[in-house]
Amino acid sequence: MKKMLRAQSFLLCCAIASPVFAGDGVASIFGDFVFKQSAFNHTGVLYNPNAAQVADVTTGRGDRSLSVTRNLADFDWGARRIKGSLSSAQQASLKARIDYFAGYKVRYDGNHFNQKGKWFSGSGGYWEFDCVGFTERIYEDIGVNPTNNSYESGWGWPLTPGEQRDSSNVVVTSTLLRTVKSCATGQATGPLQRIDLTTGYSNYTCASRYQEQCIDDGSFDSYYDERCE
Amino acid sequence: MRRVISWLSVGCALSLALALGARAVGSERRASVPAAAASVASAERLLQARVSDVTSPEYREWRTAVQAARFGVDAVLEALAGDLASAQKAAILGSLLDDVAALSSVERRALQERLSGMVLAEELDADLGDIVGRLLRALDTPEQQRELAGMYRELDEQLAAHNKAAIVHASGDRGFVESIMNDSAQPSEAREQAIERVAELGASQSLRALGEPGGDPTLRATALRAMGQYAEDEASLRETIAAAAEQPEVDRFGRDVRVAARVGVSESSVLGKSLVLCVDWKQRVSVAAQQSEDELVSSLVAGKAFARALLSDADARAAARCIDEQLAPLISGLSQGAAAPQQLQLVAELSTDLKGECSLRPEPACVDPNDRRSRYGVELAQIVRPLLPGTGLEHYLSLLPVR
Repeated sequence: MKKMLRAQSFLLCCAIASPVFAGDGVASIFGDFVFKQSAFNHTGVLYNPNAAQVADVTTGRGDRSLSVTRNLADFDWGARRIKGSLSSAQQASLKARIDYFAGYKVRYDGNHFNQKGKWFSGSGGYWEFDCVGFTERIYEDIGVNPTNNSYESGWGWPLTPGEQRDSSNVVVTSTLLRTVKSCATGQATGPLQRIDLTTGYSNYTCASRYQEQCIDDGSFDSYYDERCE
Repeated sequence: MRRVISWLSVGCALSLALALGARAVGSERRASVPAAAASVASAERLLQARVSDVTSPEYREWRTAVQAARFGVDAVLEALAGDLASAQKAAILGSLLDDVAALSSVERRALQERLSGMVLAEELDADLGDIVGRLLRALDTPEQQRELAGMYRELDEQLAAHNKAAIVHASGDRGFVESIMNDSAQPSEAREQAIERVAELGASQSLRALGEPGGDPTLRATALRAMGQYAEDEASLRETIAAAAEQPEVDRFGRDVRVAARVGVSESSVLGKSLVLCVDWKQRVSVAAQQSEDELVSSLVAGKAFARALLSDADARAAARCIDEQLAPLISGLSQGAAAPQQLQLVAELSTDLKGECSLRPEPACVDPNDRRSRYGVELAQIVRPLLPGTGLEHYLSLLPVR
């Protein structure tokens, strides 16, 4: 009932005030959470960064409710990354979970009773998830809890994409794109580097550092050309 | 503002329906006569409440109420004729699935006719097509199914993909479903459904051609999963794994053909299935140090299918042979020598998979103290735990099962 009341007050609020939601954060690393704004919102995780494809569970796909080829551009409500980021071993483990479930029939849990997954042996066997339950579940399986468990049962049920997005266990994604360039020619002297800023790295300005590193320090050798996304 | 009022009125109708006890119409049948009458009235209101946005909180509340309620066939048929969203129709029909056996012959006939009408005259989406097909099958009327199969052929050009899939889903006619499966002019949705029906009808051998390399990856993945799941002997399971062991191949949904095959084998009812995936996993662990990142992921998935097969294998002795004869030398070697981090990860993951499987899909093997499998996850954990520090795999320390 708490959720029902909250939902109704949310609807009233939005209908009258029409707030603009900030789609902050850009997904760039496998496993980043991505969010789509709708009346009840939607979530998935970035699956293939190179092809901008998302793994998500959604309604209207029958037995194929889990797909790993959803277009990232559909997710307009920003992105989040788990605090502290994932190790490469955790990423492999997370990806294996998605691939494993994708090998099964997966149906959407429209009642949200089995958000984080329940196995049904009828119809040849299938799993049932909802969108946010799936993303929560695969992370919990690798020892990371994106959203406090109090949102998943009792008065907190059901877990919603907004609660996952606002959780203190996730941070707004940000990635530094850096190229080292020659002060004399302005040409790149190495490959483009991608640096995850959610790990606490702080030596960056998200802009060209020509003045600072070529002129101000008197070295005139090379500088960082930086951009953030 | 109109939208708000609409939402609020739907919300009020739902609250009223719930308060009056739509639930009492369903699981609790001891309601008093006046309460039951009020509940019937509220259930009817529930069936008439249109909620077009299936992502809205209203839809969630509505669907929860529908799930809890029980409706008469007449009320359902009336609702289907109304202006409801497709997802609502699917949810209402879904509420009938568990009660099909209890329907009277008159109700069954009325429902069959309506469902047949939907299949032939309305364009169904994936969810609605799925539930219509399941219901038609549950009604189990061969004559009706034959009629629908005839109409499929007659209206071939006009029927939409999910309508065709629903007809195939309902059909028990092996000749008909095989012809759809092998007809490259038919939509993928209908052919995939036909693959599953052919396998369920006991003809999984005829899927072999579709499972061969070079074909449509979507049909191939579905065929290999069905071949594995409905196999009748160990040789067929090995054949399924071998057919998928070529290069990585994903279908249009991003589903890996190799994963689909292993999932199918893991769900098979063949005695000794665990030995097939045991050998497969062992081979992958032995070469893991040289594997690329993608291959490591594939091996981790193979481990999950193996964990499922191991715990659900009805042949406990075969499972024990896998552990004691196939895996023991490998695990012992890894614990004594210099195991690569990838190998340690595969073993640690298997240990956690065994724990996870027993939590999600508990099989008798999980709790039987006389079954070798009931303690294997913990045994693996004890072996691998001291080897994890300093390998980048420390997160497994909190995931591994303990005695």
